[in-house]
Amino acid sequence: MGTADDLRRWVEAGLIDEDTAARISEHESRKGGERVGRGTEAVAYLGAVLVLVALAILAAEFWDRIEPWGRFTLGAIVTGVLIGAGWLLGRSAEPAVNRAQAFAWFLAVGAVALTAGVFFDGIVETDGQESFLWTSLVTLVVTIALWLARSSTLAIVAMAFATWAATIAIISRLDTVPDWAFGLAFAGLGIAWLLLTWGGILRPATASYAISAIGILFVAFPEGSHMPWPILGLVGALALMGLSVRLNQTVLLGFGVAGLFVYIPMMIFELFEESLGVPVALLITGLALLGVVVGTVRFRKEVET
Amino acid sequence: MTRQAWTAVGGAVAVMVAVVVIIVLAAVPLPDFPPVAPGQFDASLAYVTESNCIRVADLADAEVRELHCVSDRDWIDNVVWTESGIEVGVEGFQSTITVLDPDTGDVIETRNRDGAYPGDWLNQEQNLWVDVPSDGTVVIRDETNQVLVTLEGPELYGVDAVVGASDGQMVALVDSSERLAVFDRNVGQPYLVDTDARPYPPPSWQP
Repeated sequence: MGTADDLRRWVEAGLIDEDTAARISEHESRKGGERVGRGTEAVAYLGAVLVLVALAILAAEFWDRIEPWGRFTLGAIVTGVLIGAGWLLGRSAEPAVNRAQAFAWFLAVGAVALTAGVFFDGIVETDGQESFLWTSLVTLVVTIALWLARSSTLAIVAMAFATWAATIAIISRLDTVPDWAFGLAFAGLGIAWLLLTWGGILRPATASYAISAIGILFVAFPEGSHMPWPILGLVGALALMGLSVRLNQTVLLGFGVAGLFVYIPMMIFELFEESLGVPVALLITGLALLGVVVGTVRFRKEVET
Repeated sequence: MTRQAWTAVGGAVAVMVAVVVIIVLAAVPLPDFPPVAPGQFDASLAYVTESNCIRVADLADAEVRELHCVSDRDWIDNVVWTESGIEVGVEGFQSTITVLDPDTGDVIETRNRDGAYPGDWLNQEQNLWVDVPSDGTVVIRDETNQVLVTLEGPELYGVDAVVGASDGQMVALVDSSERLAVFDRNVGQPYLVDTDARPYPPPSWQP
């Protein structure tokens, strides 16, 4: 039985978490001597990005002149190449090459979205909103499949973007719902995502908790400073800070503090700007944020212990 | 799966169900537009759909006919029903004005725009106003500021195009849900014509 099997058993037994398992795996794989250095890897990614940008610019020049089926075929070929390349890269024992799989599949998700968009918009000719809905749903299914095949950070980020896009598409179809439905749906998704991460279903844990926090903190964004939404945002930020101690996750503390920095000034200005004036509102905001900084230092110690 | 995983799945499902229930309960219905009935109105109008087509609504028969569609790479930016046909301004790879037969949809003529607009597009004066006094409330007024119709809908509801007929009596509107409706100024109740209309370019009444 190899190290990977041992790690899998230990994660399933709850002895170590996914992040620790990934670090051990990376450490063990380096014992034999990593053949590709970090610098070389970074240069390779830079080169790949430049090539992709150049290809995208070239394609954009004649994109409008290609018939929809041509665009679809082109998109499908690029998708197939990227998924196939990722599949081959993932079979390598070299960690750097293995990481390139996650990158290739992340790009493949973009290609899938483009191809599906061309299919629904140009070939099936559904209207704009419907095309967006079906495109996001197809992309979501693909991101889930790729994440199941390899649960990398990039895979779960792609899955989160696809989930958010599908949520926006579904709510946009409902003409009858208020604006705050977007914030509520994102926050609900954030809580559900957090629960699934805590339950060990979504991984890697750190990236997944970060995605949860973004969803929860989004609760008030569609309504801005209109009460009571900043209060809900503040409650979300405080809850994230509390959970950071409970779940021993610094990333939740970071997002919680960021949330306080957004929602405390928003609330104070909404409540006191007219009655007390801008200078007093600024003073209260400044004192509150200083309190947040002091509180964060204490919280961080608790999380780390 | 462990017990913790099952608890997490149960919790996640419960949260999402709660969110859906809250959103459904908070939904406010769109203003009710009963479908237009044959013989209710005696007029016709041309309009553009979200699928980039020109349609004609014969209100006397309560019928909608699709006359002509353009490629999704082109953009219809003007529609004017004139004595010589339905003139359609199209921007895209080429910039043209196409004149359509209102009965058959046949292309009578296609000419380069050369900066021109179809029919008397630039000289159209509507004198109809859309007010939004509060979120979800839309009021359409005439040139004397008299309220023609008040519509109550969800928070983001709006009316994006209002066009009066030359007889001064009929008004067509396109709302934010892509619904084309018509109403008589004296009655004020809009009647639904189509659910796939684009507000820009606005509909054009038969002269």
